[in-house]
Amino acid sequence: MNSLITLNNIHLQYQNGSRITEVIKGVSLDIKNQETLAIVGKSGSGKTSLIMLMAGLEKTSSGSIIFQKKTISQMTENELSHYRQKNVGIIFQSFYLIPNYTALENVALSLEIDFQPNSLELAKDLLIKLGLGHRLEHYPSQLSGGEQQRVAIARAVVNKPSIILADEPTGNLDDENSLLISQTLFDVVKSHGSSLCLVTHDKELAQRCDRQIIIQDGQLI
Amino acid sequence: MVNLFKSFQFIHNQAWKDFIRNFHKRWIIIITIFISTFVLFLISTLNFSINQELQKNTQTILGGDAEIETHIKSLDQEVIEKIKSIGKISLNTSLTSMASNGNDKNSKTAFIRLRAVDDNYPLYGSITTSHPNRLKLFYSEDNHVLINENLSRNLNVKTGDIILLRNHQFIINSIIQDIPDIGGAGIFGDLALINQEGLSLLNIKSSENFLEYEYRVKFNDDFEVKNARNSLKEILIEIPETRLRFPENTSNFLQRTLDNFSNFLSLISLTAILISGIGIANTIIAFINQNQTSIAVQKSLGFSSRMIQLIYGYQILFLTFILCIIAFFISGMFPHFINPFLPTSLGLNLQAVFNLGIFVRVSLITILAISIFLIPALNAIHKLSANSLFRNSFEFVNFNLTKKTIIINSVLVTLLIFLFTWGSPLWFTNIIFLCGFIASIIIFYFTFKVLTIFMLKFHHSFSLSYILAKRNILSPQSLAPIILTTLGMGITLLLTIIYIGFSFQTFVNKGLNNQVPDYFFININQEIKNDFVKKLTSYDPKSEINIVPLATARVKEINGVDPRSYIDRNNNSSWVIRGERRVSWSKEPAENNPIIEGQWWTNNPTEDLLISFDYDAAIDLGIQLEDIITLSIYGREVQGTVKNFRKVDYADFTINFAMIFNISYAEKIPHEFIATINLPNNITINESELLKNFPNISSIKVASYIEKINNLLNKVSLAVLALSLVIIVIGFLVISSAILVQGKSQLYQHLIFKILGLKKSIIIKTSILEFTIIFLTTIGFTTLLSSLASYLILNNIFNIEWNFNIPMTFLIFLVVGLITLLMILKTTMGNLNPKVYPLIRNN
Repeated sequence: MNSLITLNNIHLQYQNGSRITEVIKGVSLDIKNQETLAIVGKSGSGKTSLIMLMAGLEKTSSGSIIFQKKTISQMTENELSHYRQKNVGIIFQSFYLIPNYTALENVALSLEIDFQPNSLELAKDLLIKLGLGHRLEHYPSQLSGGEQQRVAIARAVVNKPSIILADEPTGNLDDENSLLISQTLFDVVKSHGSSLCLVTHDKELAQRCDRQIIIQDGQLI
Repeated sequence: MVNLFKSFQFIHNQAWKDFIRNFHKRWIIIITIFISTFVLFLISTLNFSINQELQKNTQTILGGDAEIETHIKSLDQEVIEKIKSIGKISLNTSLTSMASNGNDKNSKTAFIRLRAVDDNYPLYGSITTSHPNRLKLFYSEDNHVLINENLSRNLNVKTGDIILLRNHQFIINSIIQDIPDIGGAGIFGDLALINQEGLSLLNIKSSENFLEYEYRVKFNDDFEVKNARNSLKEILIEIPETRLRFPENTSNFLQRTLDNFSNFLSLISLTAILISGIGIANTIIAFINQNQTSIAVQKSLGFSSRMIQLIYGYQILFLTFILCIIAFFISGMFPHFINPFLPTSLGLNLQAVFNLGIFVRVSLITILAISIFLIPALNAIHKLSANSLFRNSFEFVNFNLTKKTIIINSVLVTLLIFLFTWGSPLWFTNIIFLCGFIASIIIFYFTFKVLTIFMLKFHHSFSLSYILAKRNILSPQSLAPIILTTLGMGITLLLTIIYIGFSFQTFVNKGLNNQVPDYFFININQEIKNDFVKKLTSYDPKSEINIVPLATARVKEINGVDPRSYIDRNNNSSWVIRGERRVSWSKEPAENNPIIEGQWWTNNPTEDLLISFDYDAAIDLGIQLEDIITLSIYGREVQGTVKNFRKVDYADFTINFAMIFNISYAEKIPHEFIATINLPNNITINESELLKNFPNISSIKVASYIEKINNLLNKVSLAVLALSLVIIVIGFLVISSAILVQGKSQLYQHLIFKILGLKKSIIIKTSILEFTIIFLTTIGFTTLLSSLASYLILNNIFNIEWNFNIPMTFLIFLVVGLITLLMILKTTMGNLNPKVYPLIRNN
């Protein structure tokens, strides 16, 4: 399998006044095409930070992240926007849906940003596939946690990104919903041929991935 | 009772804590309430202060304990002697005349009001002049004249200079700074005062020059006012042409004008308060939406919705009350600072006013106005549930109008209308205005609904920015209703005033077109008529000269009944039946006075009086063809028959009369002439030379009068516009508060956009497009509403043609649009770069 994204000795530091906190300390990592990878670790170990760096939402303090031969840590803001738009789908533990958009509008947004025609129809088809055909015009506040997360997954995968970054996607859900969501997530990843990098505490979920890595205190062990 | 006190204490403590914590978020609410309340306090206080001052000086304003107007006839000596037994009497004769500076090189003339007073003048108050030590000479020397500042400026003369009054030289004794009886004098016009001997020098015949006689009486100290008044009424009962006025009626005109103006300004400031109410309610809604978690936690801890409502409601109303106190004290001091800006001729010395009545009334109005919008906003708390804590979701709430809220608000609106209109003579106008305001809010709400429906039906997606802008407009948190309502109301009011003012100016300026005469000439007596026409013709033979006879007549009865007994003073044509009216006669009807009903007389009897009447006035007064009108012409009663009605347009600045007689009968009436001249281009009249040759004739330059009217209109418009701008400013504050409170959710939305890879330029484009759609809707509806409102007002109240002011409309929309857009863009730009990490971490 070809390499999709490569992290080379990356560091991430936050400065608060004179105090410097190093969150990521020299991580190197390679994710292949269509590979599923689980990052596990304790709270505060740097899992989410790693995801944000890969998404181009944070800039590395040092080191480089290369996506399909392009160094994303050197990209301009517009290039980063384009990178996320075309290649990355992100799923959060707290869903982060737009509260004043309906389920359908939330999903269609990813396609609209990419100027895809028939975005509403495509979003609708996917939501129906995910069992949310009866919730298309509902606002997030009118959906259950599991339904909100399915909408979030649909939004992340609808434009068929190369990589899906998921941060504790089942963290806020009960067992039954967790199972449903993880099944959904793996199904769409497989059907779209995307790579998946997920951060989780859930050992069962982690075991479903091709590979597991452990992060502790900002370093891979 | 103890529980109630404890509850109150708890609410107070909670509200206070919340206020202190969120003070930085409330500053816009504070400024909005303060500005709008302060303006209403200021208007009420100034009006009260001026009225108080007028009331204090009623005798001085009238110039006596009583005033007798006898119009063009003086009182018989016998009557004067009888009045002298009650008190001191002072005669004041006035007429219009010409004055010039007598300077051949730099000649200047003015059309003035000339008053001749006797030695007893003034009975109350005093004359204040630039040179008080010379005032004695004014009474002793027959050729001394006092002139006001206006005339001094217009003729470019000063104390000691010579001016010509009807070709007689008068020495300027000094410049008037303050005189009593301003009610009867021209405050802003050109005025000159001479003594009665000075008037004799001018050798004016009463019948030809419309001398007006006024007598003022100061009752003897040993008379009770009531008895003295009765005695005076008894003396004058035999002379029905006289008009008797007492001090309490004197300042009526000034007071009424001030009351009307202040009432109008109060309505505008009430609009400002109501718009503030909308803004505050919107801020509360946004605040509730932002604090959903806190409210949900409070509910889970056992707070009832009512308790939370009380905490927020108490906070706003307590704040309003405190701001009312501050506004009351600041506005109370204002009258004192206004004094230097008042014309000295008004003789007013305003004092600081701290009237409890004003405080209670304005505070109640403000609290009521804010409560009306606050209640449905606070009601939204009912919709929030502690469940949201478990569901990790939140739902935007909006105004919650339940049946109970509607009933409470209806009561509050009724109370507000009652409180605002109570005691006002213009209560009906006020109710119409307030109903119009409520209707406008409903219209703007439906405008938003129409926009919503239109956008939902219109599926075409031009661009991503359009899709996002459309979603923002249609979302429950949309800025559209607040922008539409607040800017809509403000701009509608501003444009309505601008259109009315512009239509007035256009109406006045129409007088400057070629059809309007360049000059009016009055006081042309029969002996000099031909010479005068010859002189006018000598300026240019192509001049159009129109000269018509002029007499005065007074309507005594219509079909044997005194019309004053059934025609109200407010009747549009009551002026025709009150006092002496100028009348004329001609062989043929004037071209600009077409006959509407009846026929112009074919036979022209010498013994019967036939009358051609103004059509509009006839309708107002209920006069029909063949009605018999009894007229008093120079004291002689004659009866005439109405034969036809003419359409008269008094606004065309030509010679017009309400009544025109048949020439064969009227020629016998003592009369003078009035003339107009239309000069060809580039030809001017040497007014000083004309005054030298025809000293008794007064000339009025129409253009200079139109300019004076325009100046006055401009000043009034400016005051009204300044206040209307306050509403726009409050609108901006309300919008900026709405934008500010929207900030957190906008930041959140931008974060999602950023994660999904949306470019900044698209977010900015979206903001601009969203605003453009909303503002274009605002432009459409405000233009429509303001045009309709101003059209109805101009047509139904003022009877003036409506005119649309394109440049001002464009300018207002441009300025307001740009400022609002900049405010929105500033916030959008500030939220363009959300820090991902703290937001993702739920911080």
